[in-house]
Amino acid sequence: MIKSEENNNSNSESTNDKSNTYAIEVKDLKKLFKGKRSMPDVKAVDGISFHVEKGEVFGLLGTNGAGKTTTISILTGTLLPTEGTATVGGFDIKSEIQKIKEMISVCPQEPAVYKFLTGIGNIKFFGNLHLIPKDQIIERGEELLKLLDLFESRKRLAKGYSGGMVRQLSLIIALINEPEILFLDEPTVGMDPRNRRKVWNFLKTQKAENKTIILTTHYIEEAESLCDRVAIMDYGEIVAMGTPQELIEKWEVKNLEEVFMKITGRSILEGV
Amino acid sequence: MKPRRIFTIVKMEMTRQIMDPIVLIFTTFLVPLLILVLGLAMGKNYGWDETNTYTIFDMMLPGLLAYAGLLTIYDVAAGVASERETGIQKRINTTPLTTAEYIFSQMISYTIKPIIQLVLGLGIAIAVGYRPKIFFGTEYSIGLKFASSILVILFMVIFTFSSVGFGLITATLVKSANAAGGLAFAFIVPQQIFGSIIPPYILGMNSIGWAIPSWYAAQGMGILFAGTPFNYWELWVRFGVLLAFSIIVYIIGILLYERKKRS
Repeated sequence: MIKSEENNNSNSESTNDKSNTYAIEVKDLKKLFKGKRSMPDVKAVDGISFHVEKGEVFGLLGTNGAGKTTTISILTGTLLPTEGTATVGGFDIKSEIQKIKEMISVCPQEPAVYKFLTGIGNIKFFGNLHLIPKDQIIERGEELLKLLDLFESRKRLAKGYSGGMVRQLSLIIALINEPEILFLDEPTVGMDPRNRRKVWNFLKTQKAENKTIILTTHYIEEAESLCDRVAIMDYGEIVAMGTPQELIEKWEVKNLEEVFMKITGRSILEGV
Repeated sequence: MKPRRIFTIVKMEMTRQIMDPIVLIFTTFLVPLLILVLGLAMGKNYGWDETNTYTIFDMMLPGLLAYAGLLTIYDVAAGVASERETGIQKRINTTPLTTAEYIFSQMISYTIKPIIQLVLGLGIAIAVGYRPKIFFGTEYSIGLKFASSILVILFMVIFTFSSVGFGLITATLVKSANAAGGLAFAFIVPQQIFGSIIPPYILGMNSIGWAIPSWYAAQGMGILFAGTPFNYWELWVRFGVLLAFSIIVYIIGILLYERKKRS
């Protein structure tokens, strides 16, 4: 793992202290968005509990509005929960968020890159925020750019990239700090099948490096191909959880899509 | 505070401004251009009383220069809100960058342009006939001229900090960059009218100006340009009040930004 200057100085010791815990542990997590004016309150996350083992790829499946992104936002420190507790890397999400931010990375749903910077410029920007040594940013960045076939375009402004290229760049940015825990919020949404497969293969190499990955997706094939375990979310609740095979066997169906349909009575791609 | 993170944000903000040359030229040259037009139009106008020592333009100039810092409210509000719209703000918030580092880097990034405008504006004003006593008076030493110049810049820097604070407050109150741009004018226009564009000899009698940071910035710079001695109490009262304004606005800006960061 690439150690940032900050990690090297102060936090490696405290990280080791938490080495015996789960990568992520969530207990009775709730998030209520207060309705404005006469609108009713929205329970985005409604008392979910789960844990993620170190080195595991854990999938959150569900339709739009199921609470997947809200869950990730809470775990990565951009939202505070209304109730419940959670730890990431052994650190509490309410009181130790700064320590969490030093060991995680997030590839958000939106293609969040600076359009006026080049591909490599974006990578350097986020690498610098993580205080990664400059030579390591270049070395690691170029390696990732090559793996996702973006190396030739690295000096072009991101505003000239196609939608798929921007998403891949966003994924590279998320990996530049070699995070211990990686959050991927629908990383392949809007990609053509060829690029999607390329990203899947790429994520398999990350999985082989024993990274803990939390992945939200609408794509059943993606979840079945990449995830060790999945949690199916519906209206803010986890309605089923287990390995894809366990769920398929338990519900006596052919795939996760049918599991989802059997539980919720709807298709997972509804409204996408 | 990690200087490398601050430098990274400042560099990115500078790149953002350079990459949009039309906006860059417009926002950098707006105040100098305004000074040129008003200098040519009113540089010889002594108002109602022709025995006045100062022209209307002489009176207006400090306020026009302060206007450069005022536009920062719009820049910051629209910039931060636009980053939130594109999801970049959320992504940045998942990195170890702290609020203090982010805000401090915004302060540096957005203070550079008003200082450039201040220098350009003052240069143009002198070119069209403005003669600030502190620079042209023979009774002042080079050291005093230099110290006054630094103090003028300091007035502008502190005033710009308050504008960055107002910009952050604006960005936290709205959801889109367009709305932020619109709301920014709620902070800009009163300061523009009561503390910047209206000549200080009228504003001096106007108690509304006392509640507005740009008034203190314009008055402070005006006192310095007039070559008033440093021991003149009004100069330091204006400096102190402006500093207090900036700190208060800034703290409110940070608190609201921090709250928005996790909501």
